[in-house]
Parts: sequence; C-alpha cells; structure tokens
Amino acid sequence: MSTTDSTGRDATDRADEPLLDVQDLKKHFPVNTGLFASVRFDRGSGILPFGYDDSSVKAVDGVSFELRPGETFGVVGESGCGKSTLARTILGLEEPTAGDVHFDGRSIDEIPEAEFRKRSQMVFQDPNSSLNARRKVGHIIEDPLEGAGWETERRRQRALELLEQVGLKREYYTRYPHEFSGGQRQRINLARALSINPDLVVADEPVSGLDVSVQAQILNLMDDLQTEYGLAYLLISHDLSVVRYVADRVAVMYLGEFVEVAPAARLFSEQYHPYANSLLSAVPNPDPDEPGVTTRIGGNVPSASNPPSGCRFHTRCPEFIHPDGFSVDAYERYERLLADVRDRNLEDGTGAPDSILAAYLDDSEGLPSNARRAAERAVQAAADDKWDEAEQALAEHESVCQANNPALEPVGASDRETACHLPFDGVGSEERGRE
Amino acid sequence: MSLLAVEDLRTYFFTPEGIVQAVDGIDFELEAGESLGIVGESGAGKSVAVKSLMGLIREPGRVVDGSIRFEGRELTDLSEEQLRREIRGNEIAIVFQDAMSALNPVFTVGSQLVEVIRENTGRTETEARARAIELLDDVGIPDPEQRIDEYPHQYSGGMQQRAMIAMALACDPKLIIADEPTTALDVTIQAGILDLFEDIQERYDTSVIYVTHDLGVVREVCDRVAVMYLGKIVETAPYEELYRNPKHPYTQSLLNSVVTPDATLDGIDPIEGTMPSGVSPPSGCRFRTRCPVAFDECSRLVPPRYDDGTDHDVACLLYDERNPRDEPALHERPGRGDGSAEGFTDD
Repeated sequence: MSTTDSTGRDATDRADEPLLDVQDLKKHFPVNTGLFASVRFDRGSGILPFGYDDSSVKAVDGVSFELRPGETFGVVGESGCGKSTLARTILGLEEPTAGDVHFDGRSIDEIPEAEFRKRSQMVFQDPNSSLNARRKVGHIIEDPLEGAGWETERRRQRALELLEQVGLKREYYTRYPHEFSGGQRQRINLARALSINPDLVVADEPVSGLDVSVQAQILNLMDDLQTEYGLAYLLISHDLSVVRYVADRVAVMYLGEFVEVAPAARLFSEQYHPYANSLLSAVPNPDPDEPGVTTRIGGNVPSASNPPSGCRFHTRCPEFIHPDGFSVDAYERYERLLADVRDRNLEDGTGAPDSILAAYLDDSEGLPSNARRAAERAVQAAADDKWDEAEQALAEHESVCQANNPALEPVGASDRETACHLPFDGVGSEERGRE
Repeated sequence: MSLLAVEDLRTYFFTPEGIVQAVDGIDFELEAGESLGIVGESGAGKSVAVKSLMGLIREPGRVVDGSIRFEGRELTDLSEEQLRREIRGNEIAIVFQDAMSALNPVFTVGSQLVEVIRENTGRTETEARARAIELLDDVGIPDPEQRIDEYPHQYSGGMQQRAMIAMALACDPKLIIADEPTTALDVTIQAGILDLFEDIQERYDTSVIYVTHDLGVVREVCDRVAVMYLGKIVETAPYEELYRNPKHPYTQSLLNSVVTPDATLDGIDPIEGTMPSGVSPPSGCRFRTRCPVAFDECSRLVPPRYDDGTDHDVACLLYDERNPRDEPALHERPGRGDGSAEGFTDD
C-alpha cells in the first residue's frame, strides 16, 4: 500500500522500519509521594529508628514491541494491568522509569516536542469529557492545526473536509459538543486527531461506552481512515472483540507485562498462555453453536505494587505446574512453609523443629522424599537462625512458575511469542495451543 | 397464570423539551422460574421499563398507562407505601449496574444485609447474621465469616456486585431484576457473575429479568429475549430461535453489528445512523428511519405484533399476510447459524 500524504511523506519508504520501537519500557509510580510520606518508623534499621518505604506500583514493567507504519497493534488486558499507562508513557504524557521509545528511528527524547506532537495523536475513551463543551466543534478540530501554525482559512477548509470524512455534516462546524451523541463525539475526536496528519494514533478504549451498533460504525471508520492516511494505530482495549476486529497484532497484558503477542487471527483461534486462554474463554459469544463462557480463573488481579514472584499469573493460573512427585495438597503445604521462611516468620517458631515440620507438612502424603528431607534441613537451619540456608534448601523444590519469571519467547510459528513455562512440543507445532 | 404480565405499559417523561415517550406500550409475560432478557441500545427504554415495574420512576417521569400484574395483583394501583412494604425487596428485588452507589459506604456489608433480612423476615439479630453469612457464601464471597464485617469499599468490584446479589436474595424474592449488572466489570469477573445468576435460578427458583445491551450475556443467562427499540418491544422469542431466525429488521441489524471475538471486519455490517429522540419518534414503525427494507405503509401504520404461534412474535408490517413480500434476509451471511465457517478469512 503506497500512501502519500499531504506532507509528502511516503509510507512505503519506511515500511520496513518500525515507526515505533519500544524497548523494555517501565513505568513505576511511587506509592508514597512527598518528602516525608515515605518515612516509616522501623526499630530494626541501624542507628536511626526510621526506614524508607520506596515501594512503587509497577504499572508497566518491561514491555517491548514494534509498530510498523500502517499497522494496528492492540493491547488487551483487565483493568489495572497497565495498558493505559503504557499508552500514556509512549506518548510522553508520563515520564518513563526506564527503557527506550524510538519513534521513526529516533529516541523520543531527541525529537522536538512540537514535531512529536504533530506526528502522534491520542483518542481518549470518554468522548464526553475529552471535548471542551464551550468551544465549537470546528475550532476543536482545528486546534492541532493552529498549534502547527496554519492560517485561519486553510484551517477552516481542512476542518470542513475532515467533518465529511468522519461521516458528519459540514454544517456541524459551528455546533457545540453537547449537541452530539457519544458516537458522533468520538467521530469529532477522530477528526481532531487526524487534522494534523499524524503517523501514529494512540486510541485508548475508543469505543467502550458506545452502543454495539455505534461501536461497529466507529471501528469501520477507523479502518477506513487508516487505509486513507496510512496511519499506525496503537489500540488499547479491555474488549477482546474490539481488538480482534481491527488489530493486526495483539499483545495480552497482565500486571505490567506482555504474556503473549501474536497476529490477531492466530491469537483468537488458539492461545498459548493460560491467561490469554482464560481471558478469551470469558468473553460471551451470542452464537449458540460456539462454546459458552467458562470461568477458568477466579479472584482478582494481584496488587501491582507487590506482584507475585516468578510468573505473575501463577496465583490464578489454571495450569500451574506442580513440581514432579508433589500432590496438589502437599505442594500447597510446602509452599506455605517456604513463604513463611522467606518472611522469616515460622508459625510456632519457638517449638522444636519436629513439631514445626509436623505443623506445616502434616502426614505429608504426596510429598517426594527428597523434598521432605529439604524441609527437614530447612526447619533445622531456621531453628539455628540460618534463614538463607533454610530458604535455599526449600527453593530447590519450588515450582518453576514461582521461581522464575518466564521471558517472552517465540513459540510455535515464529511470529508469535509467549511468556509461559509450560512445555510446547517442538517449534512449529501447534499441538500445544490451548483451544 | 404468569408470574408477571405487563400490558400496554407506557412511561413518559415530562421534560421542558417535550414529552419523552421512553416506554410506549410494551407487553410481555414472565412465567415462574423463567428468565427473560431485555436487550437494546442505550435509549431504547429498557431500564425505564424495568424500573416502572417496581414503581421506581421519579419526577418528571410517570407511568401514564398500562397494567402490571404480579401474581394476579395489579401493581399500578398500589400506593408508594404499599409498594415499599409489600413488593420491593420481598417480592421483586433489583440489582443495579453500579453496586458501589447502591451499597451504603458507612455501614458494613453485614449490617446492611442483616437489616434487610430482619426488616423483611422478622428474624432475630443472631439468626439474621447467620443467614447473611449463608447468603454471602451462596454468592461466592470467600471467607464470609470475616468479610461480612468489612465495608463495601474493601470489596472489589466483582465482590460488590455479589454482595448486591446477596442483598437481592435476602428476602427470597420471586423475581430478580438485573439492570446491566456486569457492564462495568472485566470479562473474567463478569463470567463469574453470569455463572452465579444461573446458579441462583436453579437453587432459589426465582425468575429473572436481565437487562443488557450484550447479546452474548443474554445467551448465557436467559431463556427468552425481548428486543426493544425506542420504547417498543419489536420482537420476542426464545433466545436460540431469535439468534437463528431473527425476523425484525432491527434484530437482524443488531445481530450483524455485534463485534465478537470470531468476527473480522468483513463479517460486520452495522446499522447506519443513531436512534432518534423519544420526544418526537418517527410515525408508524419507529425503526423505519433506519430500516433498510422500509416501505410506504411503515410511516402510516404502527405495526402490531404478529405471532405465528411458535412463541416468536414480531412487530413488523412485513409479516402481515396482506403484505405479500419476501422476508428480509439481512441475517443470511455465511458462517453464522448454519454451522459452516466460510466467510472468515483467518490465516
């Protein structure tokens, strides 16, 4: 597709290079802000009885991806997974904690703000609050052009053109936002975002809150505009259906990390990551011939300020890997012992090692003998106040899901990646895909 | 006798801009133990319809006409006091979309539940508390003995909605009205609530009216479905029948605009335009302004409901025997209903 836009940039020139290249992006928000808010009374810390609480909410925690010109990249996840923060950080609305964002080959720190603002635009979720109620629709659409120094008459012509392009009437130029429905306001938002002819549009939940028929209209419009302007979209949504509908590639996000990235059609036909699978099987489908909703995961997303160790999904994972030889119940008991050893706080800590062991492991049916010996060693070490040793002994038999956070790695066909410890039967095999 | 029979219900809002005919002559029946879904886009009048049933319409709105018979009793004749004492809560309970605003933030979940139980059943404090714990357990709140003493804000969104459902169940109502109870929740949480509704219907043998814009949700929890458009019910049928054989052009377009995980861009054909205002709705058939198959009579005649005797009726002049013409066939696109998967160009 060759799209020459009015500024003379040719999309095909750059088609091989990513428009947006995000590397290991992190955004952490401190839990406490202010000079003294983080100071905690702590008897155990050295000379002064104060500690410093520097915990932070890891909203985005090491995300990498590329977005090519003309492509739509979708990010889905439950509320609180960090998808909106990711969008805001990429656009420079939040200062990243770590990582790089390259736009058209240059780091966004090196791109003059005015230029970056011209080439990237954002469409927000709430079309009601993102339009200034006191200003005429035409002027709202012209805003980015005014910033770019266009003359009044040229701006007006462009706004009128855009109104038509997004399916509104030219007469609406002089109306106010409150005269429009939610769907129409989202069209106005799109017109405003496109007025400056950007390369990248970041759309954060552009259709949630709209009626189904209006959703479909807006998504179709976004698709048409993409073809016409050669736009790249970064689409953020909690609604998998919406993402499926327009995205070329999709990333499933959980607690600040991508757990699976794949071409949209392939992701929706089979999922490798248990979270992606659980999320998809929870979407109601009106078609009675398709499977109904299944609840594969319970509970809520854990706190992002203290994410679970290892794989962040392990606390809710329906396919948690129990180490060899353990029964589910025995592993639970073993895990509790390990957690308490890590906290340096054993139940009945004053008792004899034997009684502690009995309290945790009970008759320990389904506990492999070497794990039992490790537990014995650990309890003994803990009794001697050698906590590190105790922890090490127990950690040997810990589930891989808790021990290591899996990296995003290519699986099956090379164009998809997943971050999961579950084994896959050889590269290229789709057998292990969970349907 | 049906549990609930609504006839020609009309609820209007008298606003400075004019009279909004939010609900304008709807009829439906509900049997004991049955679940009915009311679907439609925002502005269709589905929330107003169910609030009318419970006498929850406030100024400037008013139920202007029609009959609501609940177990043979005419609800429109009851005073506010009678409705409050005899109907709301103990016969018909409602679960709203926004659970946080329906729960009182300054009382614990337990004390609110206990109050409702005592008010309606005359149990002692201790009995009521035991019942409250049982209810919280029934709706899937973990550790109900501890969590009963927590405040609503300590509950997650999904748990607040579960607590609301426990509240609704507290007095063994015969009918639970759920007004978009999962719209604000994540799909994983929604899945749990939908399971809960199915479970409740079985265990408590209550009828449910479930208001939603999501046909996928209707499929999960409802036996029958009524489709509303601009204050009118345009089609009623058992869910599967409606999905496989939608008759009204609006239902057909609605099914075609649903964005589902297995639909691609080419599979969707949204209805053009938006719903007109309820202040001056189109004459005749209200959908005619957006209807792809409207003809002259549509602007002159208000379509009655045509019933072919199969529990599937439709308010559209196309189904009048005096209008011999082909049925609209908007829904016949490959890959839906017939089990074939053509039309999806995956990979």
